[in-house]
Amino acid sequence: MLRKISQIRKNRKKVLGLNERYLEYIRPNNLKKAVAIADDKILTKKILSKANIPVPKKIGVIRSADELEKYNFEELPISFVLKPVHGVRGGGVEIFYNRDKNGQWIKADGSRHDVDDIKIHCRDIIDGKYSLNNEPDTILIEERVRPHKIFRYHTFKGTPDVRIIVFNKIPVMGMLRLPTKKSGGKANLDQGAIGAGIDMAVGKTTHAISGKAGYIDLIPEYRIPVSGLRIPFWDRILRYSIEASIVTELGFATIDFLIDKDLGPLIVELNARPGLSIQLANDSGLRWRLKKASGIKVKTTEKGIRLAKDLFGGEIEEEIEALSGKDVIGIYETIKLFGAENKEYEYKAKIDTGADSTSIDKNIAIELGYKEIIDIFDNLNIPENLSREEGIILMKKYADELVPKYEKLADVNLIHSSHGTSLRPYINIELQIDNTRFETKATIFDRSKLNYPVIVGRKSLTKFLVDPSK
Amino acid sequence: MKILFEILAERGLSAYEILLLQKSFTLLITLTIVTTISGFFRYIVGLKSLNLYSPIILTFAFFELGYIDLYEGSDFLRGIKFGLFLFFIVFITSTLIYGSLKKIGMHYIPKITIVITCVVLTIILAIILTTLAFNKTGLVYLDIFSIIMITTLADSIVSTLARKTFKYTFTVSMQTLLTALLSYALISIDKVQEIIIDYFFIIIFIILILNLYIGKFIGLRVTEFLRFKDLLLVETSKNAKKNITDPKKQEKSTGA
Repeated sequence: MLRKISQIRKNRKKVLGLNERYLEYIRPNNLKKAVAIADDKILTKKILSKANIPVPKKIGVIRSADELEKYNFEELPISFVLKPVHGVRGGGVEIFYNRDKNGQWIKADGSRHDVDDIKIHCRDIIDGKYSLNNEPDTILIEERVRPHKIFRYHTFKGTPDVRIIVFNKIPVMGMLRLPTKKSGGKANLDQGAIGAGIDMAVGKTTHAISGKAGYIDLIPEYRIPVSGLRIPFWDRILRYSIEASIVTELGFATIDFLIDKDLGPLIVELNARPGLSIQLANDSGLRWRLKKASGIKVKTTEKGIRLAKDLFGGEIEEEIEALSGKDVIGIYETIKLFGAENKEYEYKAKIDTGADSTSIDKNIAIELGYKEIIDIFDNLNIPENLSREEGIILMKKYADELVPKYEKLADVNLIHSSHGTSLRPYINIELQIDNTRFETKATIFDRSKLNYPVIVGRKSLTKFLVDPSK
Repeated sequence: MKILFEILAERGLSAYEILLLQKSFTLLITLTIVTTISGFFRYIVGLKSLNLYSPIILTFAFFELGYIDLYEGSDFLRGIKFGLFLFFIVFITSTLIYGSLKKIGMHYIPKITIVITCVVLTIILAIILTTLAFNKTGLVYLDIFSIIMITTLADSIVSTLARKTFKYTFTVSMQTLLTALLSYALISIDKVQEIIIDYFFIIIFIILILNLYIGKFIGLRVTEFLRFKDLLLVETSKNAKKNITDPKKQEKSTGA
């Protein structure tokens, strides 16, 4: 029990609540003027298009009951979307997919609606049924976005959307919302849609929640895993979300995208009051991410994208680490070597899975206290390019002769390379890569003319997975 | 505060007038207490209400329904009994009527008017029925303004129903009721009323301080601890990672 409480106290620092969201983030970062843009879908569209950020195409606007009577619905395309301009939480949004022979439009749930039905819905919108504080509202009619093929097996009817929270010009968290049968084709978590967290580094889905029901692994309709889905155009999504936050001057906002199969990501909505369920979908708190992102000067969009990937990506990697028990490391790592009395030395190293064993530069070996061994080997005057047979004879000879004599010499071994075979001393060193410290054998070699003073080879990498893209 | 009343008495105010004044002053202060409780429930506990005014309206309706007269004071249970009775009449009638009106496409305000008309009719019927059938006259003596106040809650309920699900509306209405009941219970305690009169200005000061605190409160709400319990109860990922990558521990585990 006590452990649980201390756990909660520790984790509490990572999670963002409604009180803090408003007082610490929305109020100081979103000026009234900026919020007014986000709350008005027509204005949002105008400002974003002006900045060359793609949005779904506008078909029409109905501002009053008069305009509604005059509006010619017969001219609408077979598929379109109807929205209240000041709508909240997706209320009042209707998507029409097709039109049948009788001229009735078909919705995602298969129901058919004629012009009169649509007009009644329009009247509700104009009367303010779906707007904040029930104020009279305007109707926006948009082209319907045709969902990208990649989501075909992940969604039930509707169109999935990608939601990015941007703070201080850095995308801090993302969520993919997938419509389900329960949500009636709508990408709304309250109505039972699936929310999947996104690894910001690669744009792949990680954890997922189903509405308010909690964590899920499989999509109920298709029984396929939610995680591991790669969101197309990820870099463009990050770029547009930063640009949108810059042109609207929203310091803290969610940017909602739909991904069209031809046009790519389109911004459908901005929200100056980011929802908090995204934390559950990502199985991660927003608070620590916002704290990390605040105070950084982001001068270019590129820097914002890079920061998002570096600071908030890597959940998938951590998951692999947890599953395999191995650290994921890149090709170039800064490593630590330990000399006498545990003294630390830091070097740049190349992680080389093509090399059999680790090799370190002569000068490093001297610093670490292996001068004696190097001198002995230098005095032996072993020719550089041996044949295999000669090498084996020499190796056996010195292994028997020297290894028992010198404590610091672990072994002698033959190294075969394109230059021929050479005999090298092996020493035991203590090596640390990415917080893991271990003992390994290394050869000494004059690497002063090479780029990296240390090469870490296969024999020293049994505890790691190497990711060349890192 | 006592001194003020003594001065007023010297200036020729009768005992009855002073009692009246004391009652109005208490009620005025109670208003700030109820809004403080509302704020506490919203920002620290995390209970939502239909809107800002509904718990306040409901609390005072309870209070007035329980109030008999200046000399007899109030009856706590009477307030609860009639208050709950009226509240549920309003809630059930408005959800039922709204549900049946939903299918007919209608403008919003006429729709609300029809709902309110039906609520009013139900209340009138209830009064007639209880007096005729059960010979109870309790409802006859009820304060009419309290009844009107509770009836106006129909608008809050219907506008919530229009935008959200029934489940949400029900939960939020129950939370409104809970907030109102607790506020009513607090202000009904005689001792509390005495304290209000005795320490009038100190109470105002405390209320201001409390609201400054609630107004600046950025911690998680009680309901958020429940909402994010999955996030709050996970082992810190750093520890989990340490266990795996600590070579000595790993060797031990593989050795065993």
